[in-house]
Amino acid sequence: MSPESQKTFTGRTRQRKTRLRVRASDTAARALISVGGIGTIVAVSTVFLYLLWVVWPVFQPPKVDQAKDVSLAARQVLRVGVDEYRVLGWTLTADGTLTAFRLGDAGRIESRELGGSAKPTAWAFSIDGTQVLMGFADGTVRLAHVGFTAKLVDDTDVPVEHRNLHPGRQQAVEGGVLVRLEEAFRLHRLQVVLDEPLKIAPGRRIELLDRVDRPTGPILAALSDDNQLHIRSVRKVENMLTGETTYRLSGGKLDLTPHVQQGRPMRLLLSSTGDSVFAAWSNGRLLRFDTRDLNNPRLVEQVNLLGDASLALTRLDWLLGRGTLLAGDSAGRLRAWFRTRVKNEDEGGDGWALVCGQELASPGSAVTAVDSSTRARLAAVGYAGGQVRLFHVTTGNLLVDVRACEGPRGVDAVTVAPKDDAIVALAGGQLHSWGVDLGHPEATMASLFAPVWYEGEPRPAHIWQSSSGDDAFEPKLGMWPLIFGTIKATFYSLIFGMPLALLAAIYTSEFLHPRLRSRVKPTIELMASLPSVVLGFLAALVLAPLVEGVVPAVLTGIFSVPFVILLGAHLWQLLPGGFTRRLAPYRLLFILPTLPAGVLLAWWAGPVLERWFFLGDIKQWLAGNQGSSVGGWLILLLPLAGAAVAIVNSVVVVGWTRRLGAGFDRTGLAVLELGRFVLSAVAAVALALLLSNVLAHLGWDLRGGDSVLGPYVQRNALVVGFIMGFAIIPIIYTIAEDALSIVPEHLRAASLGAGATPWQTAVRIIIPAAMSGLFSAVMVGLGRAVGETMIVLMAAGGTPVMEWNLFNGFRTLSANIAIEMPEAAKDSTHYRTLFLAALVLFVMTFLVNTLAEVVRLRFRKKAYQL
Amino acid sequence: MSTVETIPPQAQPQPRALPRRRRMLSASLPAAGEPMVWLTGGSLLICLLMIIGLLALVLWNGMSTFWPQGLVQVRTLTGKTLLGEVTREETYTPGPDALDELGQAAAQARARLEAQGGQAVRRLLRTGNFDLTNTHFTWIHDFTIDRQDRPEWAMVVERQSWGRFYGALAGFAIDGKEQAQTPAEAWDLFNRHHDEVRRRFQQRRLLETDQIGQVNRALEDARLAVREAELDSGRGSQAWQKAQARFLKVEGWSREEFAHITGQIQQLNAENDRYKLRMRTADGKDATIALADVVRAYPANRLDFWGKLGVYGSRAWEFLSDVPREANSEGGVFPAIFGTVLMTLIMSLAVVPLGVLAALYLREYAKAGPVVSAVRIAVNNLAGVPSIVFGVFGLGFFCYGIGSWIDAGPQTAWPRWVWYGSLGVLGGVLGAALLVGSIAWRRPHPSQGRRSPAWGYLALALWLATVLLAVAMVAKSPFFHGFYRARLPNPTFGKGALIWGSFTLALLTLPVVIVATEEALAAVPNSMREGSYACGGSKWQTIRRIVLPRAMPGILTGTILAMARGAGEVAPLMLVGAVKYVPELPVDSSFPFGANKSFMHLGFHIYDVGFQSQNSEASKPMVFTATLLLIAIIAVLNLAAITLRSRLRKKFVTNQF
Repeated sequence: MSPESQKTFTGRTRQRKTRLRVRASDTAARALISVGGIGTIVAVSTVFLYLLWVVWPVFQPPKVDQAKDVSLAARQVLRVGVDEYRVLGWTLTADGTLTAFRLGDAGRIESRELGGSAKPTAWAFSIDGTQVLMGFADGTVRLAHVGFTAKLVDDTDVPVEHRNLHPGRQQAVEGGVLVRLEEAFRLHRLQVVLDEPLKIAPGRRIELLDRVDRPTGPILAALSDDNQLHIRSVRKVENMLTGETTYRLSGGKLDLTPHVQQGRPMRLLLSSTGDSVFAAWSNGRLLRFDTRDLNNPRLVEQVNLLGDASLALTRLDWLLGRGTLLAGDSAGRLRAWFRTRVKNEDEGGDGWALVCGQELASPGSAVTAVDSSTRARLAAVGYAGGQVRLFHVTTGNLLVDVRACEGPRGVDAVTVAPKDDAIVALAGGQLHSWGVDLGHPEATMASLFAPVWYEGEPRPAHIWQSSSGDDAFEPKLGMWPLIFGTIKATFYSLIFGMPLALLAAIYTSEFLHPRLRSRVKPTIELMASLPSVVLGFLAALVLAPLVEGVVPAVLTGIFSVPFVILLGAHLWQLLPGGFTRRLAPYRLLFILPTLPAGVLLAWWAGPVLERWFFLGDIKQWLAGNQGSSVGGWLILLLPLAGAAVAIVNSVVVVGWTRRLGAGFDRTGLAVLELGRFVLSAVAAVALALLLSNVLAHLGWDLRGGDSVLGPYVQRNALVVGFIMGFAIIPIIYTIAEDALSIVPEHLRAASLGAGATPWQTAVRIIIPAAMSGLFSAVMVGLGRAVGETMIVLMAAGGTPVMEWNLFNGFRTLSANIAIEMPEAAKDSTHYRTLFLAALVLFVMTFLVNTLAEVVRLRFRKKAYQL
Repeated sequence: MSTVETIPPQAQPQPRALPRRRRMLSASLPAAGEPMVWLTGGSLLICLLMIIGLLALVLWNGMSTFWPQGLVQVRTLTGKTLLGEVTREETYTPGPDALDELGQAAAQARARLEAQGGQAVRRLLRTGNFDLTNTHFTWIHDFTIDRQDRPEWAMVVERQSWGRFYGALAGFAIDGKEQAQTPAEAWDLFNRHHDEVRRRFQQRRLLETDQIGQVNRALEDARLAVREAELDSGRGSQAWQKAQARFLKVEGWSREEFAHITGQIQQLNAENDRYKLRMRTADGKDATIALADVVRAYPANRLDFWGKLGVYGSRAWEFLSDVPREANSEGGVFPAIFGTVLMTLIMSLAVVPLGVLAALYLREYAKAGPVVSAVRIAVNNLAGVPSIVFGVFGLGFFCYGIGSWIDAGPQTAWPRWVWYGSLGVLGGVLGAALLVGSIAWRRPHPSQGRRSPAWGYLALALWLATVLLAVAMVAKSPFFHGFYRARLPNPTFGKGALIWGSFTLALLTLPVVIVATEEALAAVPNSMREGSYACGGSKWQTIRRIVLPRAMPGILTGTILAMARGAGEVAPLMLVGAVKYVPELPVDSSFPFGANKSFMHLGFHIYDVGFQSQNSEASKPMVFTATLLLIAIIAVLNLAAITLRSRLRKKFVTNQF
């Protein structure tokens, strides 16, 4: 029998081979659909991978290149500097000689005496090293600006012999270095500008000095050899007529003689705003003088930076921003000290105290050189043992650990290149440079998720404050406040939305007339498609101002509305049985009036309760510690007492009433029930009042930093909870209703047939059967609340604080992304941290949703098996 | 429910049967749980009332925004006179220092306040005239009012800038000469001249935006051509010189063109400047308003119902058809409507084919198993991933990734040898994929039984590797330097843009379409497919002729739901292209047809005007109207989907076999 054709009983020859066109189109369709389908699914799942890919570099360790060493002979080097192209460098020696050289081969370009003929007796440097301040034996100080210029030069302006230089190569020329670029040349030169000398301590030798720039003009601090501390503010005055500029000095001085018994201090430092002067001795003693009033400096604090008498202070320098002191000692420890607010005014303090926030790991030999980066809170440290380390001071992270030399002399000077892309150290007559790629030193697992001791804070804390206009700003990238805000928003919205949605779903599926159900369900589903920007707008501009005026009434309403509904039900039971049974389908119509009644009750009772418990003004009560704390406890305990009374009712009292009412007719029973309800309500209130009073007498108060009550802010968790609850109601409702109505009809019929009432059927049969479906409904609602953006963006106030306070705002992960993402520079740490926030959100919702989905599928299977 | 009789006697095993136990209806009273039922019913009612209340609030506020109100002139006890519209009224208890600033009139006010029992009513009067008073709103307390009336010729003048002006009509000047003796005459003159003056104004605006814009664009194109030639073949090359020459020519032409257009504009301005509306404010100051600056003016207290309706209609039309003015707080939202609709359309163009393909694959082609159900769960879950996450992805991937690549080529290209090397690898992987694929796809011989699925997975992995490598090679190509290099550092595609917004939302709504399509495909009874196969239909024929037509309404429903979700989504758009104000529509006559432009979006407009606006009290009504519009668009889309869905269900209820 040939497979191609076959005689059928009709006698026609059937073509068994499928036509080519059909086969081709079938294959093409299969290919297209497979490729498109798989491609689409893969593309969608790349969202997660892409987020991960962007976040990944944050956790990468820094990369360090091999050291480049050139020999450079210099003695007693005070400081090394490098230009931002890493072409030129300079050294400054203690005799005042500034030498510029090429970084590549240490070839000298020029030298000059900064102080002229006079030898400086004291030095001070700005953080970036470009301003060098010298003090002299005659009591004058002089500022030198040391910098580099880089200017583009056309081919024609370059000496003929250098014109055919290869791109990227450099050539030393008179007074500088010529670098060949693709299209032109760049000429690098050293530039030194000297300011006018200023007389600070006439006739006295200046021993120590420091200088800061303020918008109003610089401030100088100097210690002269007669142990006088001079504080001077310098103002430039321009004579309009002659065009002459003169400097006007003002300020006072302080006699340090009583403090110099053990010798002169080794360092004198000025804080960033010039409001404090620090003097440190090599035994670790540090005195802090308050110089807010320049004319009357006064001693306000005295600490020991080392805490160990056997050690010596070897270095004391500012970190970027002049807010953190880096104290290096002979044991190799480098400790970061900064001021934090305390209450010490009455003990002669100025409200601040120095604390040690960070100790950077020691390699075991003394600190000999410290330099701060000019763009980040990085400190490069050189040690006597020849090690060079780079730390991120905020996190205490050791980023780079290299060795410059072996030998006793150790590292003479160290500096971080202006772009943070290299470390340069001078040790043992050699200049060592390491190219580094630091990546994102300010973000580590620890700094993102563990408390960090930021500058100026009294203790380690979780803080999110990602950017500021100031260069010296310390980015605070603690994610917890945002995650906390997300959880807070979810919690309060679930508290409001979940019971409403679940109860509504139960009524819809069990008690609502089917025809009405087909109307009601789409209406609530329509609510799901309301754009959240609309809800956010209504929350912030309509609801928030509205609620602000009637806080007590809103709080009362939470209790009064259910109370009135229940009261209505008990009154309804007083009606004859036949009547109520016939009207049961129209029950909603009779429930309806109880809602406004409850609201009216709240409206009326709110102000009364406010007078009783909250001093007549709840906002004032919340803000301060006035009045008794009973009211606050009452808010918290009333629902708990209600629940407790309900449990007692269902366990104990029900039996009593059943026995008591055994012989009663329906009306009698209804009266009995009503009495029971009223007594229960009274009992709940009495119990709550009693407990509140007890707790208040114990001195516990719900108002306070970490508690659920606190100062009132217009855009707060109450408003967000309400509106976001509104947003998640339709989701929970729809899924829960589906879960309830998917429970097989025969279960319902069997239960009703066995004589159970519809309510008993619902509670004992349907809800247990649908439990996992209800759970997944709540989970999906939770997932939506976690990621909701616009509502919290508009109505939550946006401050990233960690407080459970119902009346305060917060900032969620999503709102934070929406606020900060447009300003984050691409590939910056901030940008990647925001991607991390997105990733955290993604993972949170994905987990919650997967859980819900798995539970739901299980449940469906179970429901089909029933 | 008399089931008792049907139970056979032996089914009652209790020895101590209670024969006299009477069933009591009343005993079921606590069991009926009526109070709890009421609680559930109350919850449902609260949900329903909240929705209805919210919609009613938006509807009422949105609809009443444009209705013109009468003007009230109030003289206070301190002698100030104010004219304006009452926007809000509330009862409050004045504090003790409320009377402080009244001076001598304090006694009188106190007496009144005491007569009212300490309660007072205050009204927020919109007084406008921001250029004169530096305020838009003033609170009026009822105990400080001396006299209050509704002047007949009090006018509301909506201006092009500085917001509204409230004042009495004083006259109408042409060429600086007063033409009207009475306000009625001035009003006549205003009506006679306003239309033509506005027509000239619109003409001028058209000249400014369109014509000058065209010239500018030509000039910019020429400049870019020069830059491009410089980048391609170097400064001073032949191509560069040619481009430079052309640029100089265009520059000359544009100068002439500018002069010409400016002349026209000046002419129109000069003509318009002849007409001036003269007004007097409530406190007696004279003010002159150029007629061209008046968008709309009406004597509020003289309008009858039809007059008010006319103003209402004119404002509503302006809202729908015009661009915003006054920092988005006045005027229209046409660019936002256009942006929303266009973005939603592009989004659905992108999302529907992909979503349908993925659903077809999952439902019709993929073999059901743990992998497919895992994929299905994952797709379902993506629908629950926060929209802002998609926004972050869109910004990073589309704007900064693909967009920058289009602009400037790869940021860090592979060296050539790596690229050529990977070309070789690509060839190898492709060959392996083809080979393994052909093994995996070959129909197994019946005698061999089932082939292990490992071949299929291997083929899939190889194909994925091929695609990934190819994509990487394109993304890191050392030979490509961007299509818009000349425009750098200004990004062309490497920023928020209409197309990126649409793509981001497409990704966001993809799960919606996949899930809906899958459901629709699953709803097609298997018997229909089997029937088709039995008739000799191939798989694709079955899908095309039998399955897809039946599933079409469901797919459409999914599409519409996706559009509704996309139209209302704001958070991701804040990152990928929606901006507060671009009056130009994001369309263009030449490539890329405006796809790279930023756009306005209704949802973002609501956020922006409600939150970033300087004068939030005045813009609140506009926000309500925009909200109403957005809700209306989404409701229409949703209702369409719901209707389709119920039709689809009905169809299959009758078609089930």
